[in-house]
Amino acid sequence: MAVDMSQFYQVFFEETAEHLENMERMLLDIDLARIDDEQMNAIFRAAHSIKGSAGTFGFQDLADVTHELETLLDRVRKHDLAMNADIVDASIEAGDLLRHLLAAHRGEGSADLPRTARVCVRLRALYLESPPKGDDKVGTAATHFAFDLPADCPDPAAVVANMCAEFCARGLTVTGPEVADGGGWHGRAAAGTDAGLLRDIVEFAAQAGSFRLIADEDDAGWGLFEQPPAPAGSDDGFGFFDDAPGVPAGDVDPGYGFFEPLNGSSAELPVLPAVRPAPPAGDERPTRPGRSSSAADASIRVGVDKVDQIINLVGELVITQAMLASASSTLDPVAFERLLNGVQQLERNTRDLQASVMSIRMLPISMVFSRFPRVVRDLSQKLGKQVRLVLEGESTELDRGLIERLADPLTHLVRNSLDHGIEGPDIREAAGKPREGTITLKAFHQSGHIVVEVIDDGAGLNRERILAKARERELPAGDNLSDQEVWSLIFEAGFSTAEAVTEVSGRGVGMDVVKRNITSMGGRIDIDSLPGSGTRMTVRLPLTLAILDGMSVGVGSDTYIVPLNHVVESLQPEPSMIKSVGGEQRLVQVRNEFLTVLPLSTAMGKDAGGSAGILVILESDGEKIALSVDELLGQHQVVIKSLEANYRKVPGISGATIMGDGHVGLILDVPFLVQSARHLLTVAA
Amino acid sequence: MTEVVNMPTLRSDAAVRDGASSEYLTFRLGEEEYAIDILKVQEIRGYDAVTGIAHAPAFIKGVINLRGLIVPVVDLRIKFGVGLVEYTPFTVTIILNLGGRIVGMVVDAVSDVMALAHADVLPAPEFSSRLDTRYIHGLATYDDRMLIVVDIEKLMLAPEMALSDEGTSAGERP
Repeated sequence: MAVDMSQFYQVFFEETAEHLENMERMLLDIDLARIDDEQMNAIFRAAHSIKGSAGTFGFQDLADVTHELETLLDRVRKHDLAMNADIVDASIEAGDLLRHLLAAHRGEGSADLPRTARVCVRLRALYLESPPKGDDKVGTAATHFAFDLPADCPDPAAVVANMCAEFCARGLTVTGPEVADGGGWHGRAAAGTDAGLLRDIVEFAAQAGSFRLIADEDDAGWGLFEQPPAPAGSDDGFGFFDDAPGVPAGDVDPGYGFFEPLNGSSAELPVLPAVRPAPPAGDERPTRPGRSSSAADASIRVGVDKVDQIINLVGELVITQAMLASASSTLDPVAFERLLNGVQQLERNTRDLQASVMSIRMLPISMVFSRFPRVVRDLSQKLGKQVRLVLEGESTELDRGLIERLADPLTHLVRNSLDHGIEGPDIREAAGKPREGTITLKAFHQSGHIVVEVIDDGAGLNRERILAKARERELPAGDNLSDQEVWSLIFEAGFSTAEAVTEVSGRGVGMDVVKRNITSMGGRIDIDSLPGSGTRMTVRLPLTLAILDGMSVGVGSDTYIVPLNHVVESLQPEPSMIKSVGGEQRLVQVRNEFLTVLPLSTAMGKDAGGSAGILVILESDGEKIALSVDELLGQHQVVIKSLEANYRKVPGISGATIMGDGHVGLILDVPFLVQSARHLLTVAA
Repeated sequence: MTEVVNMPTLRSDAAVRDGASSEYLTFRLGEEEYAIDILKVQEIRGYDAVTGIAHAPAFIKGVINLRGLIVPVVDLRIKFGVGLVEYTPFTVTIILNLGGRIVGMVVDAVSDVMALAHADVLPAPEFSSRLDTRYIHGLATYDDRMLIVVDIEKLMLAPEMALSDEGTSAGERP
């Protein structure tokens, strides 16, 4: 082919992954009691699109599997088959397989062929063995099949002989195959033959996609098919099959024309049996998925690096604008009125530009939430619990980088709630709660932060058990701890109060990792729990990883940025508040606490100069210190830049930023400072 | 703020005559003249707005904002102990691009861009100085001046420069 298709593969992979995701979401949304036609159509369309593009790009295995899925879904949406839990399960399984195959094509792992065969057989069984209602014979009847050998096959007889040997070896009773009139081959398999196996064996030797299965009966009524299947599947049929390889002939619509009258033999002949009373809006017009898919608006695909580059450039623009503004501030407002107006307008435009560029990186949190219906469904089945998942605030936006890093901790929290929080249905009933537990995932913005809550209405945390466990592990845990403090014990490494280690959770690795992940994103996690009523885990994150709310502090001539999420308060100490220990190390008494005073100049390797002008109380991991600085300069949002890209890690510094005047400002690494202050204290003591 | 010095385009005819040659940027540190591969040079700018960094050796002056990138700046005069360390409007920073890492280098002055034939670069004898001979590519003479040809990439990325995380011993945690 003249066109190199591989350049489009990436697009295909992305699109297919998206279709699969949509399909899964819709499948999970299905309410078996009330099937929505539009929804079924949408699911079918997703499968159809995957099949179409997989065929185009030559991913045969993908196309084959989707074909089976599509056939099944097609019959469901035409009401030939009633939707049931089996079909949903099989479709979801097929979706998983497709994802797996897709990964294999991307070069991640290799395709699991037996699994492919298994899934195909399962799907096929669902639509073959439950034919249009009112006819249960076809599945058990003898099977008539036909295939073609490749045109350039050197020795057809030998190939067919091999095939027969294989039939025998696999225990299939097959008559034939023999040459048909049209040049193809046909044969007959005994009743009850596993059609998938038959197909696998035949396709091994036969021309790809040429295998056709014609359900058969030894009735006289099948006269039409008695003659070798050449007429049914020959020329015109082939034009059709070649587009969508792997089509078993009997299942394509045209086949129906044959089957229906025959099966229904004499009675109500030409009409397709109206299997189930069609729901009110039973017409087949192709409608858009009616769900609230706000993301389905027009969009373009752009690489993240391009977006990041734009963000960087806009950052530059902002700095240049700030420079212009400060340079022009000394000008005579009357003489330079027009220039100053221009500078002002530039400032406004730059702000707007920056805001809209930053919003490009923002994605709705539904990107993370969308995986949970599946997680909850699988897990609740495994654990034998009944759980309903409620998602709220799915359209809340946050930075793309955060989205990716939020997925793991959130999954952990949800699994945890499901495993430990929600009780089994019987226990719930005994406790006077509905048998079905509820897990709510809620996202919203709150004062420059994004808050994600995982709420369950389960048993709540058991204070006694946590305390007992903590003592067992020799953690400092007195009886007088507040509830908050007790709950935060579960974030200690290796802490699990689960009575038994299950497959799901209970090994005690996890909550500490969750906490660490969230802290590393500059976030916080809090727990509220009420015994018997449930637990609420609240994760608070900054809106973006690239921007930080900071307080700038001055020491001598240097300016540093303190991340605001670590700042508890700032105060100007009275001389009497500061105590010395061993002459050197100083402590400050703030209300009822003694805090270590860490002069920022010492921490930054400069001589400690002057008195403690202002103390900034910092908190990290529950520890507090008082950082002494000369002055507070202001509070602003800063863009975080890496110091390590061209330099190296500097102790006490977590990154750098560019200040309004173009200078580099260093961002303090508060957890490190808190730790090092504690270290100094233990040395001094 | 950014003061780009026009690069002199003087060429050594003697060197061009000889086939195998490379172009070098030469700069002065005190009375000494050094040459580095010009392909490693990204740009030349003035010295300003350097933010000091804690726990860094004295020759690392700090970091600057190079159009949004945070770039460390090294003062070679301090590192080699030559010349008078003072910062004037004429102090020059050479921005190097060393395999993706950007580093700034303060020198007294940039003097020339010249081609040197490979044959003219003579191996340096073993001697001890603050500049380890491992980083000296060779010595060359041009108009009776001695040029010290430095393998700048090897020098800047050496552990003793403490510019990267690999093999850094400086800056232990307190």
